[in-house]
Amino acid sequence: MDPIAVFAESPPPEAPVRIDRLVVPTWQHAEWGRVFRHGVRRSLSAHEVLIQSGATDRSLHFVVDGNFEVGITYVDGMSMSTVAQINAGTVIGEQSFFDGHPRSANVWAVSSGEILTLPFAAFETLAMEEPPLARDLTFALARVLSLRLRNTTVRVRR
Amino acid sequence: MSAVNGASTPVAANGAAGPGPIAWAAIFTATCLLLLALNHILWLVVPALMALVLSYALYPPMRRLMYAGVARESAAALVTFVFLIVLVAATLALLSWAGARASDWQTGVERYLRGGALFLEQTLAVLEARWSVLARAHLSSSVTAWLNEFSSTFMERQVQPLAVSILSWLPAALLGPFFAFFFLRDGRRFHGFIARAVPNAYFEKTLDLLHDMHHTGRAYFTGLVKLAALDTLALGLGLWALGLPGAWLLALIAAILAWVPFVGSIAGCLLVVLVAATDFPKDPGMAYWAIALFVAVRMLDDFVFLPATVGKSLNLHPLVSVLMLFVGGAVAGVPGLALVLPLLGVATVVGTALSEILTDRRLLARHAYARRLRTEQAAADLA
Amino acid sequence: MLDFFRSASGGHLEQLRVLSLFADLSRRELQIVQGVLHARDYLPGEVIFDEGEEGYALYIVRTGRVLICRQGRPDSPIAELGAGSFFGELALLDSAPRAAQARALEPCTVAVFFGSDFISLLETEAKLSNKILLQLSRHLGRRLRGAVLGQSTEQHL
Repeated sequence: MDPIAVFAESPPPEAPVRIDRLVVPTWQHAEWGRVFRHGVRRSLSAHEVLIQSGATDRSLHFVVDGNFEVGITYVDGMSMSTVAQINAGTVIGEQSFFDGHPRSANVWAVSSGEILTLPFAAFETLAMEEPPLARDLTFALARVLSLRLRNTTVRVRR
Repeated sequence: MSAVNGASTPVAANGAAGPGPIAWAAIFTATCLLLLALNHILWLVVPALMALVLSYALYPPMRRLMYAGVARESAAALVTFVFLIVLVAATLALLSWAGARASDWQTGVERYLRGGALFLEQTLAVLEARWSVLARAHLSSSVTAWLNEFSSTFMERQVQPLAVSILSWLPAALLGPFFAFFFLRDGRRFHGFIARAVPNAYFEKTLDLLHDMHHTGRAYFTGLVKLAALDTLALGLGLWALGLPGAWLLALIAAILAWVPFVGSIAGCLLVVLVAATDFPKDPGMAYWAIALFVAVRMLDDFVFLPATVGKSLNLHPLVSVLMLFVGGAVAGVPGLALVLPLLGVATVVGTALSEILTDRRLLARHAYARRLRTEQAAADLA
Repeated sequence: MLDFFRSASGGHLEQLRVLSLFADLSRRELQIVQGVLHARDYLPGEVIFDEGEEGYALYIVRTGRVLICRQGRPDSPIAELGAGSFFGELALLDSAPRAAQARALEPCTVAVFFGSDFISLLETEAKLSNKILLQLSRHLGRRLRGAVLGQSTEQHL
């Protein structure tokens, strides 16, 4: 699948509704292309691990295709809880991308899929070369973070 | 992840969404009272409006200077000074150009007025020939007599008072750049002054109100410029297709005149008809096509251009806009026609915000509680 | 020569720099931000904003402490924020109503960053707004990490 089409165009009617979809209203295909040229595409097979808890990389993963699950391991080190399911049109790994701390959860592909990975160093290059693009992307990512925070706060309260 | 908004308990009831009938009545009344008051101080209103438009236009370069590290006061002084230099230079150039052509213009104006009168005579003759009832009513001779009387006293009754008004307004017009400098320099400070005067409970809503007022004003004037551009394009294309000389200049003048609703559009149409009738004396059809073009562009304005430009900025129902234009004209004449819509837009923004604040029981309760806390703090060491 | 036109500096800029949101800003950028901030004072117990109301601003605690709690339940706090912390940022980002109530625990002074001024800065100053957004996103990421892991997040930054 074309990552630019996934993020630049509205999702098909049959796709699941995502409130935390990564949306940049003012961007067309060209803008997404200029950001994605800094990233690397990767295909994953079903059950393949994308992010390992404790890992120290600072990449941001744009979900182009497929379904992914986010799970946290409890203190016993054995039991795991699924905290989120993520599909195309949004991002994974945004927390460590911004704060640089080790990954706090595991992420694996439920079905075969494709992601586009943007390393933090590449984002810093983008911020120097094209500050307005970096600003728009950061704002959209901050919005995704805030929506996920609201959703998580409500679920914790329940 | 499901869609949630995080709020579990709704806050105590606000007022209904949008202003109610009482608020709307207050908005319309305030607009009319403002029109009445402003009509008496037009010598101040006109330069203030000029200053507002000027401050909107000069704000972007001022902001660029500020972001480059220049102090606000110096940036405001610099952009105003540069504008004044450009204005003086342009005025001197225009005066010398106009002075060289003054006698040509006088001849030209007389020629076009004669052409217009001839066109009117021909049109009335055709109408009387077609409809005998008009001939029996002596339409042609009545209109001609009225026109003769009007033109014989035109200088005394129209031009002289107009010239005296323009001369008496000239010093006030110089206030425009003066006001604009202070709007630019102290606008933010005034904004903060208003915000500081508001109690904490109403603070966020007041900031939002000030922002909406500012946004409405800027959007309205930007809408006017866009409307003039669209009208110039539509009229210019039509007049050029008709073969009228100076089509684009005529279209621009008519588009700017149209900023004054009704009266301005009619004045623009008269101007074009005069030119068409004079430059094509043997082809009265040219003038009729010009009138038809104006009517067509007027329809385009009312149904397409206005809603997309000025209408969008003011967010007013078309029926309300038209009714208030009539009210504005009745209350304050031509100035009322020009001022009523932006005043109504601002009054609507203020009235909406006030009605939300005054009907929000929770905000009123928070304010009362804060006042009690401050009273208790002030009386803390008093027995 | 430009120095002649530059505005006089104040200790206020250094007070802004200690705030986490503006930690990465240069002196010129701090001056720009200082020009758009408003200052408000609150007495202990005074409500800053209610849960569920429409939010227009982000608040930064200059002095004092602020309590974040569920509407009408100040005895069950979600967080207590001290000087340097900020709150109310969610409403700016996703235009949803306030997720909790904020009230002053002590006499406090807050700096208020109005949403439209924030958006205006985003549009006109990309580098400045990048720095603020990065700090904002780091803060949100920490809070989200804490919420997901069920830990109480240290709010003072």
